[in-house]
Amino acid sequence: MKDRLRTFRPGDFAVCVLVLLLAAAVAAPFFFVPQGALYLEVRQDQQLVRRVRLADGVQETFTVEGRAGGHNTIEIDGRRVRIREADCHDQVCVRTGWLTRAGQSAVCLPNRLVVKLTGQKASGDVDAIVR
Amino acid sequence: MRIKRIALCGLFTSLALILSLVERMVPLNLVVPVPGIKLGLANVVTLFALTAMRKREASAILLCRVTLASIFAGSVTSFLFSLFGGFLALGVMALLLRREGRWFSLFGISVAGAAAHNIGQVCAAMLVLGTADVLGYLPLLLLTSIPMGLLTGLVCRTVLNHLKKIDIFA
Amino acid sequence: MNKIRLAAICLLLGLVSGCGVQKAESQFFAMNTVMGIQAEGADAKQAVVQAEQYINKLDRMLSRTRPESEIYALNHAGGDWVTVSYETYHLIDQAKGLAMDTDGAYDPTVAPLTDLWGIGTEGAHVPQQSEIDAALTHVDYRNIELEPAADASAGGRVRLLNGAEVDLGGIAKGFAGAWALTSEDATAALLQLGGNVSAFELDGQAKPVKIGIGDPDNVAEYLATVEVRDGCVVTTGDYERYFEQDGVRYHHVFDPKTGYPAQSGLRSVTVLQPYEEGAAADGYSTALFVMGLERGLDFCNRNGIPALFITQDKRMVPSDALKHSSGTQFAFGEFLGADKGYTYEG
Repeated sequence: MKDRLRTFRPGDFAVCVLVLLLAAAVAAPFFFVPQGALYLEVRQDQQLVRRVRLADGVQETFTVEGRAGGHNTIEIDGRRVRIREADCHDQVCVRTGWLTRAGQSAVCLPNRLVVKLTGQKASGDVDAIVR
Repeated sequence: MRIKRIALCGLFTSLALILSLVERMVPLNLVVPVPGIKLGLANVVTLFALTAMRKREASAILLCRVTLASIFAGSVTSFLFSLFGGFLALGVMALLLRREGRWFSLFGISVAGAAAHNIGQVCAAMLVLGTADVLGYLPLLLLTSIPMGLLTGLVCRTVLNHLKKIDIFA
Repeated sequence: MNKIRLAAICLLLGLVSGCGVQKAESQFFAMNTVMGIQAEGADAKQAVVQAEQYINKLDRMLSRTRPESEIYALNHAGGDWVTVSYETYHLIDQAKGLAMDTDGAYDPTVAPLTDLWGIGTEGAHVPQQSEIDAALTHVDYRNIELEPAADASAGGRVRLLNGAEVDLGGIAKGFAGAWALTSEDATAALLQLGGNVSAFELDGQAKPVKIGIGDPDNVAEYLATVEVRDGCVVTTGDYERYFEQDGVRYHHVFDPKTGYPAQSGLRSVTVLQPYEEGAAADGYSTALFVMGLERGLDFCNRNGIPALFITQDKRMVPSDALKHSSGTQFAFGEFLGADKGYTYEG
């Protein structure tokens, strides 16, 4: 049997350093990427109509036709989104304003439209909002 | 002599089981809120079995320990975490043990084993939970694997040095 | 040896495929609002499908506008006894109980006022005082009479006196949130039913759910956070459905005493309750909004209700039960309204 009294061989230090490096490598992305990817999902009557990856500098405005002829105009401005205009009578969706974080949504009930931001939640973000 | 070896396997399985239970007292869930993730105290038995017994016996002890620990106090998820972690640690330590002496001592080997155990657990958690979020806890677990590994290495070395005086396998 | 190996592989494969934690999600329209359910557990997909079916069933039973609903039948029975199912009976009974507890601040018979004002519809307007007075004669929860069936699980009979009409819209979402997930297929779930949020938890393992309290001026944002375990959070506010006329905001929460939208100086009230008390949370939040800060706070403190009041003069006031909630299933999280001019009086 080998003599196990001999302590600390060079490889031991290498192992420890390797483990530390690995820990740092895994931790790094969590520190250096403050903003996760953010996606816009537009659903009409539960059907996904559009899914867009939001990025700074991207601007787009498009209109979704609902059943029964209603429509909602959705505006993308970089990493934020809003329903700019709608022909529904209650205008709740328009009043919701800009959505900027994963988990936020704007809903137009008359046109059965849901605009939602999805993506990795930041540590401070909430799981849901009561209103 | 076969019966004696089987009895020894049983003895070490029960020792590992006790260590699994002791491990449960450490409130690791406060910092790593993934139920089923463990520190890996029972790895000391794996390391000992690898050095003093055959690889096949070490694997059998590990499988029995993981299964029984899950049956006594655990869930299917904790079973999978321990299984992945345990066997990855066993594999890494078996590999490094071939170079024991010149390149590595038991300390380095058990640190590598502890790190492998945590990597295995987190990989299993990612598979089971279907999310990469768990990866965020790996750096912390890897840091704990250095003191944990040094501790298990020390225990294992001490035991082996004492066992040199008596031959339990005779 | 080979047999053992084979058995071990089968065992492992069986465990991986059969018992993993599933996650499932669904979004649908029911009860005149949008519902979102996220669940995880051994068979979360099944749990979500069942929850959706259950909510749709409740919607069909409790809707005031669908001619096939039990509530529609009751409201059009001309004061005769109507036999209703267990769920409907239970919910009407609970609605009446909540009305009694809150001294009529929550009232399930405000439907004539809702119809008269038409808030949330294209015909929203301020009615004549004589019209309001006429509508008010039908508004009183004491007009509901209940008679349980001999077999309590079979529901019972209900009748409405004085031309009253029942509208359970105010508490149906809360009730649905509490009872939609009944199987053990899901061990944890987050239900967003309209503005209500319920966090369901079976085994005490999940993290507390962090819930934002909506900013009345911008409902996509929040002014504070609360953390909840196996509980539900309900907000009643003046911002969800309203119209403005001559600079006055007329919203959808009526004071059953005056017949006008409640003028209580509040923007919103948020109530926290245990998971299965969703209907009570719904009723309380409405009642507290009608009562106003002073009476509402007093009511909460007498009954140990965790609640958060947001006033028109930008104060945020927690009830005692919320202030001293640490260590329970509820906890006040963070106050974030300072930038928007709010002060927290906790």
